[in-house]
Amino acid sequence: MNYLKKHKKFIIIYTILIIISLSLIIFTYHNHSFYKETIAKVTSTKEEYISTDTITYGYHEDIYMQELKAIILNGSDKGKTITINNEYHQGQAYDQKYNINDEIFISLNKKDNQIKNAHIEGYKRDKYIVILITSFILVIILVGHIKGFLSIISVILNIIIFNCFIYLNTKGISLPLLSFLGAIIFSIISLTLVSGINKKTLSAIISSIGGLLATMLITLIVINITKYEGIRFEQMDLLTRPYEGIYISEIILGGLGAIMDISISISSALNELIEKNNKITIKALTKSGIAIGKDIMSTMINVLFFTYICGIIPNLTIYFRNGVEINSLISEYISLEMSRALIGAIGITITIPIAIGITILIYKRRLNND
Amino acid sequence: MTKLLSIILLILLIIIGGKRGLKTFITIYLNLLLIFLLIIIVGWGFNPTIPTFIICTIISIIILFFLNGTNKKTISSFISVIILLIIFYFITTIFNNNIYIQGYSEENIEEISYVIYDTGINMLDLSKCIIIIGLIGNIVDTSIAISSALYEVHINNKKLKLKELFNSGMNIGKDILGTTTNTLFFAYLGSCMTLLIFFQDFQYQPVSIINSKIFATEFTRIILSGIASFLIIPITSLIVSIYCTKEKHYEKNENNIRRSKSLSN
Repeated sequence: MNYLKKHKKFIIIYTILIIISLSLIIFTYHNHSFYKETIAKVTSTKEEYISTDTITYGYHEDIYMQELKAIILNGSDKGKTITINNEYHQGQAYDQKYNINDEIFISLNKKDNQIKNAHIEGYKRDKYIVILITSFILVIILVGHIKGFLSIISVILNIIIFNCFIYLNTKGISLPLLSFLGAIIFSIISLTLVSGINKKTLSAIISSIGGLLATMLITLIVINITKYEGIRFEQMDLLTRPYEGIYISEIILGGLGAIMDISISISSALNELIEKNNKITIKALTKSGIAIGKDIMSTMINVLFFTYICGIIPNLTIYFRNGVEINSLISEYISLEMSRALIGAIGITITIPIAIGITILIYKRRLNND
Repeated sequence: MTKLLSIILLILLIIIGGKRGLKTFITIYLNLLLIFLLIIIVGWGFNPTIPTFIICTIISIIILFFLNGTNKKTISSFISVIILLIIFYFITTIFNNNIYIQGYSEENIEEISYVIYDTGINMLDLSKCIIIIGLIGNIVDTSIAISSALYEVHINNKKLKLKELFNSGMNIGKDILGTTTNTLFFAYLGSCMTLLIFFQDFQYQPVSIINSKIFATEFTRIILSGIASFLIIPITSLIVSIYCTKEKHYEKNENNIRRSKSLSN
């Protein structure tokens, strides 16, 4: 009872949030009439084994044919039942097996207002995206209360700014330059929202930018020496423009979060030490700063590592199955992701002394006065 | 290029981190080795679910016990990570079986057009495991941050009850939350920038972006990683509080035993 009274406001706001989320989710389950594309819902499936593909390396894959009965949910043919054939491989690498109640986008072949046949265009994923977004928001606010809310605001602002920059890029401004400007704005917004307007935020912002500059300097020197030697840019092949600029921008933004994290941790911890004892020597401050930095850097480096590496596991597995030697997988095929992770790690490490130096510089006057 | 980068990283880590820096460097490559072990196991045709769990456990053992030493903090973090992994196995399974983000999408199929995609590996199971591997790094990071801070609180004030300890754990968590979100957000922004520019270049409509497989793949990973690193906060706080308050009873009992022994003597 006491608990309820204490958190009355939060509970009311949270209930409203839950109601909004639920109604959004329910809406996406019934938004078919808003789509121009024809949507159908699978009502029954019948599977039939067709053949087995044997691949050169001794692996085999079964191929099946599904006969799907589906009911059209929108458009002029709403309510009609159609039959669609869907061929899929057992591994479902780029085709897939559909289940009852799945909603799919279809294109209809018509002749004299009669549906001759239908073809699957894609799968309707919007409701799951909405479920993901709403549960993310609900969890972050449940755990973080007002701080969770501020994090969401910071993410939304960052997305808006990022979109502006992508737009500016289409107007001809170079992407690395935009990313660097963006990084400065991102760090100002995110760090201010995380720790408020004060001296430690200021020193964290300056340290982040300093850390980023140092990382970029190292990266550019390495690129100049090695000329991207050994990096396979295959994953960026879907773009029809030169990838060097994008690669550098990705590096700038990818490490930024971790660099900001290190900067704010060090500057707020040193701030705490100075507040408690303003006779503390610069040497002692440096020592504690390094101790704090050491503590966080290793797990943070692992965060970046796993975030980057997990995405290429399917590719690596497929290459392995295609007979690529494990040696060349290690030395060549992961080079792109590995270089990103390594540069991020370098950024994290080099930011530690920079953040300590800048925080001490900013607080120096206060230290000297006493 | 990666060789030069890793040499620079090693030097920096040793200058700044000393012995711990060297350990960090070793951890990166040990983890890489484990990921390759997983790829080989999956490549041999085993179902990836159980190997993924074993490898995630080994990864968290390496990060927690090899890097941070075996103590109460790391043990309670380890328990929390395992609990969260089990919970997340079910969450990812449900999502993965409904959102269909396995394998490749038509946009990136040309990327590796000279290889054969249909190799008999179940991509649906594999994509579930990738989500779990993607979040192991940040749940361990958040968990160790909370357990070490909360343990300091416990050491400084041993009289705190379970509920009070749990509450201060949640408070510590709130401070970490913002920076964790940023780290994740920018790391993923960095890794899917190619994709976002691709959408821009080919003038994708928002509706088709939301429904496309290539977007859903990245998005599911980001959001589930985020949710996992938020949920680890209450779990770790609870485990550490239980562990610390239980230990007190244990000490009391031990003292009683000692006292009774000395009395009987």
